[in-house]
Amino acid sequence: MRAQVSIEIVVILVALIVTFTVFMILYQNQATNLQQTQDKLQATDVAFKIANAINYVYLGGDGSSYSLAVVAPRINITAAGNFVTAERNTVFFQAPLVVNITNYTINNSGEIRIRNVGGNIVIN
Amino acid sequence: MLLTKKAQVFTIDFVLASFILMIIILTFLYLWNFLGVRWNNINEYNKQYAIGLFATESLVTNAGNPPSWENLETINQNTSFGLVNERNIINQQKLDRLRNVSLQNYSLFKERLGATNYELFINVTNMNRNVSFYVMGNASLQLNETVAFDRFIFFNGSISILRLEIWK
Repeated sequence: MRAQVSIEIVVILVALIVTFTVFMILYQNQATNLQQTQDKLQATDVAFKIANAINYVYLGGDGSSYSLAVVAPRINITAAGNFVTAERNTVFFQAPLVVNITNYTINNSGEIRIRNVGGNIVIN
Repeated sequence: MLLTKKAQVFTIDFVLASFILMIIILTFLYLWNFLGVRWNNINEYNKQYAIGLFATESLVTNAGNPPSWENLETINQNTSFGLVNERNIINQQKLDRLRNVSLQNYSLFKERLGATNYELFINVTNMNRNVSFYVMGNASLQLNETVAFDRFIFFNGSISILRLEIWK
């Protein structure tokens, strides 16, 4: 009877170790994917938020302006050409604009003001 | 006899428990995947919608940049497209020039309208949609993947419809 119990314990331990190992391998792969997805989601969110604001201000015509609070620490945000680009940990996303703008590095923690000055977009 | 019975109970319990655990894990993985696919589709639709909306609005609500871009010799990186001088009143010269740009440089045409990673199709029709005045871009054959925007416009003396379709 004792021998039988030992075998059962060994079998259970082996099964647990195998299950645990499989889960750990899966977890490691998924954790990297999840982190990248999370970075991309945050970059996408902030890029679209700013791009939409710029597009609205452009379509609003000369004199339009909009103030926007950006809270995206650890994300580098730039606006140039027809894109707003947000980058975090080498993962980046580009949100398109309907207007071409000059190069701006956008403050990632604070308020930005977007203005339409004679059809040109000014961000500060 | 007692020993055999105990071992038997353990094996049945273990197999049953493993089976239930597998079902739970597989169900979880299936749901996770299903929700991921669904979320991606919704996200993609939202992106297409936002890009298409701004492209349509920029065409029918403003003149573009510079306002007389249709007279430029070459469309450069600083040009933005607009088809009107007054809101919703189409300037035919701008429409002609936009069509030329779409034929000569489709990538630039998309980029200037903020749809670099998508395909665009623009169709100007009469109100009954049975006569097409202007067609430009790439039309999709799969309607379920297309997001379309219709705007009433004043074109060539009558009310018409400008339809913009965006797809991937």
